[in-house]
Amino acid sequence: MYAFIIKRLLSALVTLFAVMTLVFVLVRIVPGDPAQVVLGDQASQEAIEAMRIRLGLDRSMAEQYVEFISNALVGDWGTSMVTGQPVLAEVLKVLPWTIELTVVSLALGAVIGIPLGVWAAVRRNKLTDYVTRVLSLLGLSFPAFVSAIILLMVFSIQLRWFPVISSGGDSFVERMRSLALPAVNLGLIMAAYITRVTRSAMLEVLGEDYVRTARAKGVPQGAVLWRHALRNALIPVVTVVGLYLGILIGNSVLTEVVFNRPGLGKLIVGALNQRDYTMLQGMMVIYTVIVVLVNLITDLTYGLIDPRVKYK
Amino acid sequence: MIGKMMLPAALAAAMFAFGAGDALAQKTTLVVGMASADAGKLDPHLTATTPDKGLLNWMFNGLVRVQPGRASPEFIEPDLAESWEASPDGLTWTFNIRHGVQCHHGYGEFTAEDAAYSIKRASTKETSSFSADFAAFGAVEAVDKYTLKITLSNQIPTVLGLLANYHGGNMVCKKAAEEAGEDFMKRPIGTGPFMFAEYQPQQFVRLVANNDYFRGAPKIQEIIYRYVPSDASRDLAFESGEVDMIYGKQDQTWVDRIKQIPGAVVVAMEPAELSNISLNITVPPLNDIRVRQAIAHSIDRSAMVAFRGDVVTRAAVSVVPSGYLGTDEHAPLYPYDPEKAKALLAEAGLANGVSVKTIHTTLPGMLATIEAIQAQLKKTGIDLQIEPVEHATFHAQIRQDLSPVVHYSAARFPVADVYLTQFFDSNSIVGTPTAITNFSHCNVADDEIRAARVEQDAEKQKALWKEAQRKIVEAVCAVPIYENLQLWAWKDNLDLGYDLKGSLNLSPPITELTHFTK
Repeated sequence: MYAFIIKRLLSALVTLFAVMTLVFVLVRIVPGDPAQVVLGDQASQEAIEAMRIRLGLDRSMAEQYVEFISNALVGDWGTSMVTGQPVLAEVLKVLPWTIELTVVSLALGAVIGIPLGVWAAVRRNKLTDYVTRVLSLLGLSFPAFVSAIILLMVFSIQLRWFPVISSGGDSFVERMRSLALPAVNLGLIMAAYITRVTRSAMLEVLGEDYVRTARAKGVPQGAVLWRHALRNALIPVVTVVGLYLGILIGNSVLTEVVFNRPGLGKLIVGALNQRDYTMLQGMMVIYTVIVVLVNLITDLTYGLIDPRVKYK
Repeated sequence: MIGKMMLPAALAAAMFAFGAGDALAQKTTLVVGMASADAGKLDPHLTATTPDKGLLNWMFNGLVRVQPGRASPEFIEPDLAESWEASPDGLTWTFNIRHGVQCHHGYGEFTAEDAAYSIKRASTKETSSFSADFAAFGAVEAVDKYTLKITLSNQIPTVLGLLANYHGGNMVCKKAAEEAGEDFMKRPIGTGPFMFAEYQPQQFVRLVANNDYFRGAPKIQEIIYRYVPSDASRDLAFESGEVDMIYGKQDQTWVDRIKQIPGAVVVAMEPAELSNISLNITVPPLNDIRVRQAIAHSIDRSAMVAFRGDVVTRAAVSVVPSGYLGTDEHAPLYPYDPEKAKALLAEAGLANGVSVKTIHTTLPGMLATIEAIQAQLKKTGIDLQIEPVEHATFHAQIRQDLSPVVHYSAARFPVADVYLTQFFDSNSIVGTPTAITNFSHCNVADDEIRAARVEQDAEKQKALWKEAQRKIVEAVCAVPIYENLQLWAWKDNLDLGYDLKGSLNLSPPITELTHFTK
């Protein structure tokens, strides 16, 4: 198993290098001048030129690339072209917010989605199943920023239970109050996904011989479902969750913007709008690392669920 | 059963308690919601963006200032300088610095030495975006602790305007700026009523009262300047009472909606941004003046004002915004006359229609305007092809001279010279080394613009500016559309302490007198 992990991490290094090169080139191909954006539309031409020199943008692409890669190798991601803060520090400052939101909404999604999916599969083609399917379809197709506004209108403006600006963090209670609505917003989307995947995986498993056998020998319905069927149906669910987790970290940007929470999504969109090359480069690498790690964790989870899985 | 019922009720009560607790005491914390995802460069000599300027407005002074609530240089009054005098030729200026002004966070007394340093910093391209404004500044020296002498190499339209609490005129404290170097923006130090205290990325900047402020200790003790990029959630946070003051969406529907909120005060203030449609007079088909005149005759300004809403916009009066020193408030703009437009096109041999391209930002407000103009032009057979691009791309590409038609919306320091120089002096043509924002390649009024710049006789200067505007309008370098006012809203328990008509720094000044009434 350790050999497997090491092999995977080594191949991840190649991916990282490719991503770094690609991002370096891409951010520079996009039209727009960081110095211009940073200084605003009233800055004098000479001030913009001076800023370009200070940011190192007057040097050749090759020079900039060599510097970027060699600095990255020793763990120096540079400083943001806009705020002047170290990229890594900026990212680490908002990372806890993103992790907190992602993990809680994922948990919420699983807690709602898995039982609902199982239930819908068992009650296949009955009213419960139809209702669940319509609801989950609705959850998937509803834009996150619309549901976010609706949640705010109901729970923050009408009922006044939660704050609109969901970034309070002075006390644990405040932090949880701030987390509630964003987590529900993302969690419901997550739940919709998980419900659908669980339902279809369960349907397949419920038709298997061993389930019929278990039923025939008189195993109680609950045990059949939860011990025999669900355990085997979980692998596709874990795959989807793993894939989606990577997307979720990026997709949370709309939720972050509407609920006004700090986060990676907001950071990267801001960096893109402001053509903050260094920040974009650093962020892309961090995203890649996250996706690689999540995939690795997903693969390792298979082994926990299904003892037959071997890592070579 | 009762126990089960009680729990949610208790939870709700606990939650209420958190929000409502401090509202009962006299409020001294002002929470402001700004339309931006994050802070930019918090250095008054570097930044020209609305969100940054609005915040720095409360932390810095100039040698002189525009009276709080006003946005015009006619309201200039003493600030860090108590008095000043100019030599008869207007080339030597002496300022008497106020005694005993303290820099924030214990950086000592503000003296002529600091003022000289600050002006030099603002005129150096490495440390200032506004260096070009100070081109005529020669020697700047502290004669003694409280006397500053400035020698100009040539006359300029407004020396005091450059030394007011705006852009490069903001005074920084020497010791703090030298100590911090590039990091000054992380801890800006000035002399204003509020001091920088804390920055939380993507969340807020916190300012605290400067209780040693030379005009007296501020009644507001703390300002939380929150970055709330989503228009919808900014409005909701205002409605829920989490934010006391918000930056508005530049839209009449916003005004109508916010006015419905109990206790909301909505203000549309100066300076207005003028929407100009620049036409590149050197490229076909726009190099034919008849085509440009046809475009001017096809645009119905009053319809555009009706479309945008008459609370937030007013019709343009000239190619320079109204109310500036030197604006011709009745410039001879081409009237709306679609028949004349068609005749002109026919005369130019384009009776079957003509097509022009514009690279345009995707900012929703501006895009709606250009689409309405596109519809107006279509009626006279002019096909305006809009190429929408993301905002930073727009700014880059129009400066590379890629767009024959440029829709640009801007306010500048309210002296006609600034607008005329940046947009219509041939030295400022985009794509040249001295480029600023002359997108039209306009060169018809260079003589008047340059003569007015050094003219000492106020009447003659105004006449030159008027003539420059006439020539630019006549040559149709640009078609002015409307002027867009700055929108803000706050709760009526906030008393600004003055009457707000405008603010050069685009945010209502929060002064030592600003306070909550309940």
